[in-house]
Amino acid sequence: MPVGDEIPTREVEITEAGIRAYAEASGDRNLIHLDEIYARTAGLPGIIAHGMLQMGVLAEAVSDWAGGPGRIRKLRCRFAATAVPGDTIRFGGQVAGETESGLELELWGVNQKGERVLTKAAALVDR
Amino acid sequence: MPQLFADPDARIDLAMLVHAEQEFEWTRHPVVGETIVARARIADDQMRRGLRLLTLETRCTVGGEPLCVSRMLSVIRAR
Repeated sequence: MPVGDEIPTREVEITEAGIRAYAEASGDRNLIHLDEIYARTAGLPGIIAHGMLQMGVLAEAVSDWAGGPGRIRKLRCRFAATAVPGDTIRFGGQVAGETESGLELELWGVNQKGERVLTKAAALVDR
Repeated sequence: MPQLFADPDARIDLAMLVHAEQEFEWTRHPVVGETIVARARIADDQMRRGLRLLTLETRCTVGGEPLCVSRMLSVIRAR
């Protein structure tokens, strides 16, 4: 039974260049990701990484373990804390249950300070 | 998504918006060469403790057949 199995973790180092590249790749050019003064005026600590950039790396961690992105049926998370250039986020998870729909994974994302960046993170993967 | 957020009727202040939650549910995954049609609707829009909680639900289809449903929760702070 795979319940309790842990999935291999993945890390991403947040950089300004990486955030800019993600803005171009995703089309989300909200200035809170690109313009330092705009971000601070909006009450943020500076430019922040897209939540979806982090969810993308989370999806990679699940995909690698599951045997490909096509085996992911559901994926969800809450973006609980900002991620800024200089942060390193680690993603991982474990199998929490098995139903006829598939394997249920509980997932997490934590930064270098041990703060949870992603919460309520879960996936359903084909068996 | 840019069409919604730029729509003046939606009254979304992008500087004050943070992406709070996201979920995807795939019927199947797309294949290279397919054209995906995405239709979004505002599933929920409410004020709670001075914050605007906006839920956008997007249904993606290929040739009219379901591909994926996604939900995005955005939290928009007041200036």
